[in-house]
Amino acid sequence: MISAPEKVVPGQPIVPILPDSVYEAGEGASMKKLYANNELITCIVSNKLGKVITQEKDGKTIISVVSVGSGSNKITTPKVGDIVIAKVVRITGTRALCDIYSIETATGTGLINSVLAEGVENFRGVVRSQDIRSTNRDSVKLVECFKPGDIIRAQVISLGDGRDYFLTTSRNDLGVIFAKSNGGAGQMMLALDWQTMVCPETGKTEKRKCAKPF
Amino acid sequence: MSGTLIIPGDTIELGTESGETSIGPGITTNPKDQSIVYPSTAGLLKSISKRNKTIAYIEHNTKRYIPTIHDYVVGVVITVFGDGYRVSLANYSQPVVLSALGFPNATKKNRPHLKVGDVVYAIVSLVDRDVEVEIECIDPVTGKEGGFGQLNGGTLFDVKLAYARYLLFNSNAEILEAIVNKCQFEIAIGSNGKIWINTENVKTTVAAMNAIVESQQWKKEEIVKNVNKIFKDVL
Repeated sequence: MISAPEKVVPGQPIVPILPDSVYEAGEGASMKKLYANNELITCIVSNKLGKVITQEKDGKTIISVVSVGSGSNKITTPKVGDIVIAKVVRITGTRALCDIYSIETATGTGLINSVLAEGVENFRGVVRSQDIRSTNRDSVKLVECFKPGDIIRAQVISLGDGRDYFLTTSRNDLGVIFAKSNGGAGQMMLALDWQTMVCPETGKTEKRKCAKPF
Repeated sequence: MSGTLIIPGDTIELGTESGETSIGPGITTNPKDQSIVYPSTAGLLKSISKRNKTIAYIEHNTKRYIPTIHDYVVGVVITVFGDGYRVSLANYSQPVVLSALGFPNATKKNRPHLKVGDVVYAIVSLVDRDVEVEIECIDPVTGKEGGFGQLNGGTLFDVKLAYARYLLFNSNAEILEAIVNKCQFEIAIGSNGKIWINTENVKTTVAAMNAIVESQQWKKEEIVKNVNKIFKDVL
């Protein structure tokens, strides 16, 4: 067997693929063409920081890279009913688009960071205007509920279409938790009631759909 | 203070008149300290006083129309989509949204029948930096049509923004009085610089349009004489 490195960094080649090779890339490794001695050689290259593991399977040797550290290897994806923390990225007249950053555990306290899939962007969520509040759901003005840059606490109601999760903030404890005044240029605002936030520096109030504090 | 030429970067002194002073178009406040004001366009600083209240504003003639809430505007429908229309208020500017529910007696079943290319008279109802501007065809005070809605026939043309505002707010403007002596017309003036006019036949409509467009260059004394000249071959 070709001597492979034990611990690898992302991008480090592990073994080259020769014509009658038995090596295959597993989890955390992939095949890439690299230059060596003025030739292009296909190699198995590491995607992660970790240890190299080899497994024999059906006559082939599978090379995978396993991260060293706590078992936070699993990708946590939001499920229906999960409470997530998201940042509002864009608003239109009818919906608010957000990037989902964290998922709360079932115990309700203690946030765990969702491990993002390798090389993929954040999970995206959308809050439709009828899912923002539980009262007067049809006459909601989105500009008086969320603004881009707000951090919101929302619940997943559906896995949605291929692009975004569908979220709701229609409970008392869901809604804006952190927001900066004046479009992000001012100080962080404090919630006065479920519809108003005030900037402590200027005293100006802004309308948001606020979450009841813990 | 009235009539001073101001350009952005100059300082404005307000509050020297007795009573409250509010700020109007062209003047903005410092977000951190509401008492500091800045001019946001170049023009003449003017003020109107009424019963101990003063409004200070800058009289300007900018080229690009920036939608302001409660402005009357004339727009052209460019897109029809599910629950509304996209309307253009000016070439090369962002289009605005006219919801299908922004008409008197509109419900989900009872929708207006606008098509691409239709001209509408509307009022700006929502302006926010984070969403698209919205307009609607309902009078906000009465809740009824109030002259808003689709404009049929006639012709649509552009004038300078300051001239459109002048015609809109002075119903006895000399040019309009001169034209009304020549022909009957109905007119819709938008703060976005678009004017729609309709008369009995095409010749008088075109003559009225030319008269208004060219009157931007005339002196006050010349108005009646020039309108006579334009309408001479038409009537």
